[in-house]
Amino acid sequence: MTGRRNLGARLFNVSSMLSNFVRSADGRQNVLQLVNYSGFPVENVTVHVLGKFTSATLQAPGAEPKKLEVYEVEEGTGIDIDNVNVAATLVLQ
Amino acid sequence: MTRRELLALASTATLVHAKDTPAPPVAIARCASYNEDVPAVLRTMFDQLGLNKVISGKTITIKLNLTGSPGLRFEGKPLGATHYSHPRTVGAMIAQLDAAGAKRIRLVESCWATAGPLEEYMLDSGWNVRSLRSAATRAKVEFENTNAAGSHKSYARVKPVKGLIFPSYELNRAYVDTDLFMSMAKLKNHATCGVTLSMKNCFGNTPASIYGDDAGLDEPNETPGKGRVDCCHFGKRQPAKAALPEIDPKSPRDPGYRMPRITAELVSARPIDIAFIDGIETVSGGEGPWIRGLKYIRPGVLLMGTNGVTTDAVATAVMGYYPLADKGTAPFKECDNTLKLAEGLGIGSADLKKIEVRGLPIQQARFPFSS
Repeated sequence: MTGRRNLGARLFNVSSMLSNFVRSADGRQNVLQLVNYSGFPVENVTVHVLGKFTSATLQAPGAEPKKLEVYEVEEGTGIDIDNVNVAATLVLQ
Repeated sequence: MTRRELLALASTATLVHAKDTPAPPVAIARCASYNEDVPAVLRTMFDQLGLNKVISGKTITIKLNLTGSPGLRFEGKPLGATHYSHPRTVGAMIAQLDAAGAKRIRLVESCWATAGPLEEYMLDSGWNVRSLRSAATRAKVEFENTNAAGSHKSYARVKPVKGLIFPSYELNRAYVDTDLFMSMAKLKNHATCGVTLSMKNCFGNTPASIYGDDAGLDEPNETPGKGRVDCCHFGKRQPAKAALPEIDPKSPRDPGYRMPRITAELVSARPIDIAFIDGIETVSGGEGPWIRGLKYIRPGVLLMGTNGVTTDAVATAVMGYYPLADKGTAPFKECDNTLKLAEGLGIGSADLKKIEVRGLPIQQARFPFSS
């Protein structure tokens, strides 16, 4: 049964967003895509993903790629995203 | 007014005269923005009220105001800028309590329609839970969703001085297993009660597991998924039998009659030791985005006291109202005045002439809300 402890990626503060989490067959490439369909930027999005990751990079239109802090959570790895304007892609390794 | 309402009013009026109600001071501070040095402002308010000496070695339970679903925003603004407690004031309060020597700081709220972890509800509200945890260097910071029994095996029964609607309440034990109880409210209007301040914030102490629309008939529903409108606001149903039923099921079903009484008796049953009201940024015209005519405003003030009634009376005056106004007068246009009912229960005085204000005078803090 799928629940809060075994969902691939759990997202918080994303009530106005669509999301898609993609993992390559070998598990090395993990990409989370976020689209904010509200008319306002969203601040403080939190991502909890299953498994241990050591690196997270945020890519967004018009901005340089940004390295984000990763930290340990109950399910695996946590990442905080300060701001999502229209769309963003989180690459995890 | 019905005969029943008249009798109810008369009984509380008797209590007003029978008791010498306490009137401890209230502190007001100017704080124009959440980006200001909020910890320094709180430090000054603590000094003005002499709070530091009562905090040391204590467990403090803080009831937040996270009303309504985190998904409901007003004009896309962060929830803390409109109708929720703001994470910066919460973080600053944790730091101040920690500096004053608190042993344990427990954040609580009966989260809207869920008994899931409070931390996850906060994350959904755009809060940084890790920064709240690290705001204290010595004290232990805990989180409890009080919408059900949570981490406890049973509920605590608390009794008001005089029951107006219910003879007693079953609450999550976090509200009684504590040395001090703080209500951390927002300076707001309320569509039914006129104002929602430190006392009305305690309406949310009630667990939906027992007082919710989907509470069990006999036993609590430990996974509630609804609010408490049917049971508390309208009295369409009784709480789960784990709690005592209403005193008089034939009393008025009008929320303007019931909610002020439930609020007053809840505060009588679980008194507020520290009342804190955030009016830095807020809304006027109602308590949340589901109310039409809401307006985003910036009063730029913080209020704090050691009594829910005196603090709310001063806050009501800051909002531009007369705290002892009768029903039919703003802000109590269609409801009884919670302040007067609470005063009638002997909790505290709502008479501004008896309350000393420290820091910013009311006249300088005044920011008229909706009329």
